Amino acid sequence: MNTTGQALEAVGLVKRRDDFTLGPLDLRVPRGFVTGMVGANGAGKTTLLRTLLGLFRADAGSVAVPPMGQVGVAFDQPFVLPYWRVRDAVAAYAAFRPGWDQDWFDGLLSRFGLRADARVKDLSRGEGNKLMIALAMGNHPELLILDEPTSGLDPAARADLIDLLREHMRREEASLLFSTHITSDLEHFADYLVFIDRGQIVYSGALDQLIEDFAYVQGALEDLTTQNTPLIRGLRRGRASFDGIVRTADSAAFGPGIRLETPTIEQIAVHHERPNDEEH
Amino acid sequence: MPILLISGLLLPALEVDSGGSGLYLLIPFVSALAVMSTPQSLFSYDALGRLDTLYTALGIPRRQVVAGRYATCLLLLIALTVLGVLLAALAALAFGAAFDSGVAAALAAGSVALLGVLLAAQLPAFFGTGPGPVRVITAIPPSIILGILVLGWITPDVRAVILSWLDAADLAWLTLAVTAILGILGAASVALSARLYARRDL
Repeated sequence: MNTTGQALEAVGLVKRRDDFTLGPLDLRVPRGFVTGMVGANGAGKTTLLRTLLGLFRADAGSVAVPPMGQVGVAFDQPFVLPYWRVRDAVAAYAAFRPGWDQDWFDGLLSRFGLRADARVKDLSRGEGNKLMIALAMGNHPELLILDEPTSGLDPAARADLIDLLREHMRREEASLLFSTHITSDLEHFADYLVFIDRGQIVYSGALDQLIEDFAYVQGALEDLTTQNTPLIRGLRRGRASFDGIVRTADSAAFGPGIRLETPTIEQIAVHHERPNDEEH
Repeated sequence: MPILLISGLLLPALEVDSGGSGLYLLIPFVSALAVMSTPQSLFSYDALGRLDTLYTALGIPRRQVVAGRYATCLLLLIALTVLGVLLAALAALAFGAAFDSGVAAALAAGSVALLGVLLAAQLPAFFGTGPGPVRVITAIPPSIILGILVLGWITPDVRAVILSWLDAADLAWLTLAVTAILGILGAASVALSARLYARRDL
């Protein structure tokens, strides 16, 4: 078992794929917490996760992860044979995953409404995701790595999955790395956030700190000045108003007519990734 | 596809041969399925089910995946060769043709050696690149070899030479030679596959 405070740690990680380069980057997933990873499609979330897991060979850097038997993994597509029945996939996992808890797994299947005799190819996308998540959780892994686990799930199923993950996190030492582009899944759930953009980590730290560091800004166009405009990220101008995000430390540059609000993760992500409208 | 190809090559040889010796060809032809179909199927399943990801998720080291794949291919090669021998014996019984177990055993050993060498050559390509175009390319050499074998077999003089050589072959020596060849080439092939598979992005 890893004796440091990190469930996972990557240092100087680089992965090149065609004309895309991930990193160099450092990443730490604190033990016992939920770390959310957000970023646009193509930002490098899946490449990062696959490199961390050794599915992609890193071009540089090092990764420290627990033994794979203690890491549960689910991607947004099942990785079992389509003609397998659910019970065949379970048999494979039960044979190889140390500490497999069949009663717990059966409970998960029941909770997710999956039948053991259903064929994987007959499952909907959301059901396939649920199956892979249940398989990943079947031995109460020390570290759970989920890539877009809520894609394909309806809102009720997404809420149920988050509840399940909360239950999982009540276990001592359980850690979760959760990549998603549905940022609302992480609100009030993630403890830490990794924000990845164009292969680089642009923020990694406590979610509370991120929300403290940035403010969502809205105001009338006449309140924009040559001094404060460069401070706004993802500036969007309408007919009479504008919005964007700013660093809280720069708040003083904006006059009293401008509204500064606590941002959502989505507002930070969207405005951070978009160039200002004049830069188009 | 491989079965159709094999049938297309085998049937003329069986028809041309009137003494029943053409039935021996069942041995290399059934055995050849291990080279023309087995790796192609196994690696295609890997791609279809994203099983490379599954192996990693289950904590199976890549080196063990390679070893397991070689063991599966070798076992299927042996099983299919035994099946070929049994089919040839049954066919001889059904058609009232002579069946020389010494010739069959020598042919089986030769088939395992030749096809084992082909497997050792093609498996690193699968591990290095995945099923893709390799599936088609790797089916070509055994098809050519089987075609040459059939051409030889339907030529009476060549067939007589082959049969006399098989009849005179020292089975113990042949088995030893096959084991040595497969052992050395197999070990080198496993090492190369492990190296290529370790470098591959899955």
